[in-house]
Amino acid sequence: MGTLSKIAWRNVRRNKRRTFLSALVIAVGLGIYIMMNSVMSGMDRANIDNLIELSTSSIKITTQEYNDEKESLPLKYGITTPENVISYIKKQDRVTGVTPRTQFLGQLSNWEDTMPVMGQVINVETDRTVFDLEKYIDGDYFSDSKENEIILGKDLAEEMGVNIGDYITLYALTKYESRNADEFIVIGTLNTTDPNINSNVILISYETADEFLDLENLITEIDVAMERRVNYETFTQDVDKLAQHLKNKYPQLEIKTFMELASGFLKITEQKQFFGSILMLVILAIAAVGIFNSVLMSVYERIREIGVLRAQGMKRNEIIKLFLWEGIYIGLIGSFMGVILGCGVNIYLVIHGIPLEKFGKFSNVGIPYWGTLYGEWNIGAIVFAFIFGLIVALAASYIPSRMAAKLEVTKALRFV
Amino acid sequence: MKKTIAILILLLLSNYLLGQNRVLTGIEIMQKIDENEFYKTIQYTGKMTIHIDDQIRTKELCAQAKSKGHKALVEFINPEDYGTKYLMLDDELWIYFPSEEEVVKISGHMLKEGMMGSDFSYEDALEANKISEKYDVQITGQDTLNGNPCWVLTLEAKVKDVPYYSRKMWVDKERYIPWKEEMYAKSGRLLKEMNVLQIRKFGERIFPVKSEMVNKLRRNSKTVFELEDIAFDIDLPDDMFSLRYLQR
Repeated sequence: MGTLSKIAWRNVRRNKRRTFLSALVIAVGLGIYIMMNSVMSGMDRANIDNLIELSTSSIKITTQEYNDEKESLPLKYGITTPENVISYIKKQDRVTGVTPRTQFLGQLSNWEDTMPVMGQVINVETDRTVFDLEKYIDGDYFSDSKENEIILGKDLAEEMGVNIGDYITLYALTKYESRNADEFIVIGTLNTTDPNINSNVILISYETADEFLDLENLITEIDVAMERRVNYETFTQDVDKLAQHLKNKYPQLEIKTFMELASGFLKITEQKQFFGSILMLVILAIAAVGIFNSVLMSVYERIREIGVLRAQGMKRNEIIKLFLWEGIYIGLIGSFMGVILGCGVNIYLVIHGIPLEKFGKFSNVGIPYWGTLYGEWNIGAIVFAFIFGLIVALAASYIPSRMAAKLEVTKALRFV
Repeated sequence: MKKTIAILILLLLSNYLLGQNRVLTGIEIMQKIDENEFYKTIQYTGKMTIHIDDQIRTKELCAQAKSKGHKALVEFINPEDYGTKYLMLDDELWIYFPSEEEVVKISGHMLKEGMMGSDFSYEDALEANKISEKYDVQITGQDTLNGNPCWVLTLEAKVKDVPYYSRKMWVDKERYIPWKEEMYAKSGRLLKEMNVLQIRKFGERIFPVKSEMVNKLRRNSKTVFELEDIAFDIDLPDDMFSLRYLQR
């Protein structure tokens, strides 16, 4: 066995061009697989991150009555003593931020036209500990000014024809369902990775909303942010654990994790992963055919050599083993090159990402697919790619070498 | 004795004269409007012309109402909405959609929306009888509108759950027609303006037959409502104003 592996290694080294070409086919196939896997995982992670950091937070708390009528964003079901709930949650493990929010439906008017909007009343100080909207704001964040300040989604601002510093009228119903409308100065626009926010959402502070919506300290939801420990799985476990604890502590409240809130979206992600796996299989199948073809050709090129080896007394079994060893070596070299290639590209994807905005804005798909898409390390996929390359190279060498070994010595020697 | 009779006559006369010249209060003017518009039942065909920018949409309807609007049944007869029916019972509203053969109850936030895309909200149609309960009514001036001397009434909300925080009404001094009404937001911004464009006399009663509602949040947005073939105090069966009848 030792001798055969040595001969095989010598053969591999002797035919450098053939070895390199065969290994290259394996490397390119596996490299593409590793890269695609990284991009698709990155896309899923970006979607979930966007969801948590821009809309759902890790855990959302409302009253049960509010949850039953949440589509109309009613202002009549406030959380009783929200400050107690907030201070209790803040003390829990892995909680990185807690903030109140009150959502409402309204209309923006530029005295020419009106547009329906989803209003978010935010606590200027604590909102940034849970949501990541601030980094997407062009212009300013809320100040201590006594003036009514508003931040609009960028597409919404464009639609209404207003710029930063302009005034716009916001119309909404107060907590008592009385109509109110007032002028607000646009201090910033939101250009997030979520097209829904950009085209529908407006932000105002509790200081302004208390008067405008007659809120009287009404808080309809509490949002919780949690630390991302290790990976997505551990994060969801932590979120589930805290949500369960809060459900027991506050049975009168509706406590929902982002997995529950975005179940529809996560189902789409799962389906996408399924179609992604099919795409991966196709890539691997193409790589396998390439590897198979390359190794097969190298065996066929050497049938006369097999004849010589057989004439010198080498047994059929030993011939097969010799070629299997060569397959293993080529597979190892190719897989190694593939992993180097895939990881090399992945380092760039993870650090710099792909600026999707250069390819246009896919806002019509309704889920965030623009901004910069970063790759994701997936050790399992890299190990799988390495083993897959090895197995395919092995299988590709076995079949022709078995056939070649079966040939009569004279026929093998005359093989053209 | 003669002296006593003379004093009594003087007192009665002064009371009469004072009564004639006594300035009505805001609430009394509102009651006069109600009295003038009071009907046991009403039936009419109506036309709603909705103007949004350069677009004009027309809705036609047949309506029957009882007990001064506490019960009303409206059926749309224009081709696009043919067979759509509204049933209003006090402050509740149901809509029947013929294509789905389904009755939907309209409540809460939805009542604030424009009726069939118009500038009249469902609530505008439902809340007419509650104005004096929810607002402090003051006479704040006098004005002449289209040649008609008017009281100017200012209505300030007494409670917080009112559709409009304040209103201003121009009421005809002689005929108690509310020629114009402005509806204001809590911030003091003008939201809507209602104008009576045409009135008609039906016996002792003077009734607005054409009015417009102007949405002040949009440019060129108004709805004109015209009433035709009006019949007052005819017999309308009670079961006409029921959910069962709505689905017929």
